[in-house]
Amino acid sequence: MTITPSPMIVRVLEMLAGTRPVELGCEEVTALLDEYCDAQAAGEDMSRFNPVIHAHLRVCVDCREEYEALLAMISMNADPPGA
Amino acid sequence: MSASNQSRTVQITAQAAAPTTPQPGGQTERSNDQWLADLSGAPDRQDAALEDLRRWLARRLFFYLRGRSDLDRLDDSEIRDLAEDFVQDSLLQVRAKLHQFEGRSKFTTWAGKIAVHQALGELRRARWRDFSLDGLVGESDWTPAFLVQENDPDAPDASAERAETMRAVAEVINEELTERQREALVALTVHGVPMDVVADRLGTNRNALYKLLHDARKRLRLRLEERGYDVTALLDELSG
Repeated sequence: MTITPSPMIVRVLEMLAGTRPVELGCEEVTALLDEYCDAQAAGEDMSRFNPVIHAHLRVCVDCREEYEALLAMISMNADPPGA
Repeated sequence: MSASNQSRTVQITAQAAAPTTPQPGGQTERSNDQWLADLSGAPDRQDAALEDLRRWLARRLFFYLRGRSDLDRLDDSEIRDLAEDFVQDSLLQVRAKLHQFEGRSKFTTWAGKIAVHQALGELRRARWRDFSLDGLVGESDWTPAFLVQENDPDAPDASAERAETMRAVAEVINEELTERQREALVALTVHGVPMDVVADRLGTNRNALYKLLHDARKRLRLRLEERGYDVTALLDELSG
C-alpha cells in the first residue's frame, strides 16, 4: 500500500515550512506593497530587497493576489492593446 | 457583483478643466510632488488631476480584470463598468488618504494599491457571499485518512513511516489548534476561501486572522519539531 498526501496537507506543510518567529501582518505588508512593487518593476531581486514581505506573500493568498494585480497594472504599457 | 451596479452613486466629477500647468502626455508625466500639489490645489487643478488619475487607474484595472478567469462571463463593456465603479470608490479613498502618502513609491503605484485593494476585496466578498463556516470542520475532520489523497493497495509497501507521519500531523492539528484556528485552516487550505472572507465570517479582519494563523503555524511547527519532525524535510518527502 502507498499513501499519497492530500494537496491540503502539502499546503499546510508549505505554510509551516515558511513560518518565521516574527512575521509582518497584512496591514504592514499592504503599507509597503507599493514600494515593493516599484522595486520589482525596476528589476530588484525581491527575495533580497525585502525578504520579510517576500515570506508573507508566500503564505497570504489575499496579499499575494493584490501584489500580483498591482505589479501587473504598473507594468502595463501606457496604451495596452485594444485600449 | 453586478457589472452594472447602478447603486453606486458616488461620483467624482472631474471635468475637463485644463490644469494650471499643462502636463504633456497626461498624468504619467507628473512627479509625486506635482500630484500632491495638483490634488491639493485649486478646484480646476484638482479636477484635472483626478481625471488623469481616474483614466490611468481605470484603464489598467480594466485590463487586469479582463484577464481574470473568474470574470470571463462578463463582456468588455461590463468589465469596463466594473473597473470604473471600483475606481470611483478608490478615488475617494485616495483623496481622503492623500496626507498618508510618504513618497516611498510612485504616486500612481500608491493609488493603484488602493484601487486593487478595493476591487479585489469587493470581488472576493461577492464571489463567496454565500459561504459559511458552519459545519466546516465537522465535514473535514483532521484525521490521517483525510490527509491522504489515495491509498493504492497494489503499490509496494513503503508507507508505514508515511502513515505515522500523517498521524502525527493530524494529532498536532487536532490537539494544538483552537476550533477557530482549525476552521480558518480548513477554509483556507481545503476550500480555497480568501482570507478576507474567512475574516468576515469570524468577525475579524484579515490582519487579525493572519496573526491568528501565524500563532497556529508556530505552534504546529514547534510541536512537530518536538516529536522529531523537520517540517522542511517532511514537505520534501511528502511532496516528492
